[in-house]
Amino acid sequence: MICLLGVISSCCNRPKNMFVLVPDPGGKVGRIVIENKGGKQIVSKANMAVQVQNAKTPPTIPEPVSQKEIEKTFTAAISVAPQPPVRFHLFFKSGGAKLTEASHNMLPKILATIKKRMPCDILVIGHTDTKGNAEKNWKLGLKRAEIIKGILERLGVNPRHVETASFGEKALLVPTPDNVSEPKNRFVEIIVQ
Amino acid sequence: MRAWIVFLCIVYLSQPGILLAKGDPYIGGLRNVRGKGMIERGQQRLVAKNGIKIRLNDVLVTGKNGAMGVIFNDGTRISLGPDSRIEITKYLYQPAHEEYGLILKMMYGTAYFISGAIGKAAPESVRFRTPVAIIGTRGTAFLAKVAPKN
Repeated sequence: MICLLGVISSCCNRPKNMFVLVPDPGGKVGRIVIENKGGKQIVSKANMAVQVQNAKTPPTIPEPVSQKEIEKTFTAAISVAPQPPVRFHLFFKSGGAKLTEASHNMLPKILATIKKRMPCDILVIGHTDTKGNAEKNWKLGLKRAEIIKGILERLGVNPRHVETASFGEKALLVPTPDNVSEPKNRFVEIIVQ
Repeated sequence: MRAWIVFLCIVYLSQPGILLAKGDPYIGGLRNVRGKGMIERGQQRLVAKNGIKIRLNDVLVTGKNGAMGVIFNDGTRISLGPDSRIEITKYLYQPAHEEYGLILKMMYGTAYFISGAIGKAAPESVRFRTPVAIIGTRGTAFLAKVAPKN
């Protein structure tokens, strides 16, 4: 009888709604805020969880969750998490649209990565340094991205999988003031994901 | 000349990807699809498959033994366990214009969320809505379980 009661209570105490903070794949722990009409809770320690009965009841105070409980509930979701993106940086010779020799030599490795990750998407994002005006640099960034897309296509990558974009001079690899020529900021980022 | 224009039109129309790319920019794709799952896109029902590209307002649904992963083009990753349903309500990733936003609405199921570039650039713009609470994140990963409504 006691045993039976035990089974019943464990079945019905299972949290209906639960939010668990976990470290990101790099091991870093941030925080989550759980809020509804009843109140708000902040979780800032890994493997601590908040339960919520309904939209009007305040979220519970964060409590630790066992690894076993996490596995029981979330194994399926965790096991299909996509792999992290792989990034490559290709640099251009001064002023133009030609790759440096070192960057040119990286192409086989990039192709191998794409093949291995298929089906995947390839984002090609053009960047410039801060020399000249922002609008022109946005266009130059896009031109660089399109050039790389063309190269990938000639090497056999289906263009359906390739998306191009430009961040212009807004995402510098080496921070500089405006109007500075900086070879390390003239690049295209390839993200395979 | 006329024949040439007609030919071009046919080529253009026969490649829906080209047309769709204009108004519906790619925001991410499905990975590691297992078991049964689908994408609800307006009136359309697409069977979930690895590599399928997703769009804003898509609703991702998994069946009893289903699971699927999604990677967005900012690197945000979310994966769903069985019997789950999630809608991509807002997705904005325009670093050139410094515009960011991500709102996911999970109706029920289990999910694993890993923050990406949007969460890094504008953490306050990331919202994970559920029927019982709204979750805000500060550049991290979390797990969510939401019971189906009775």
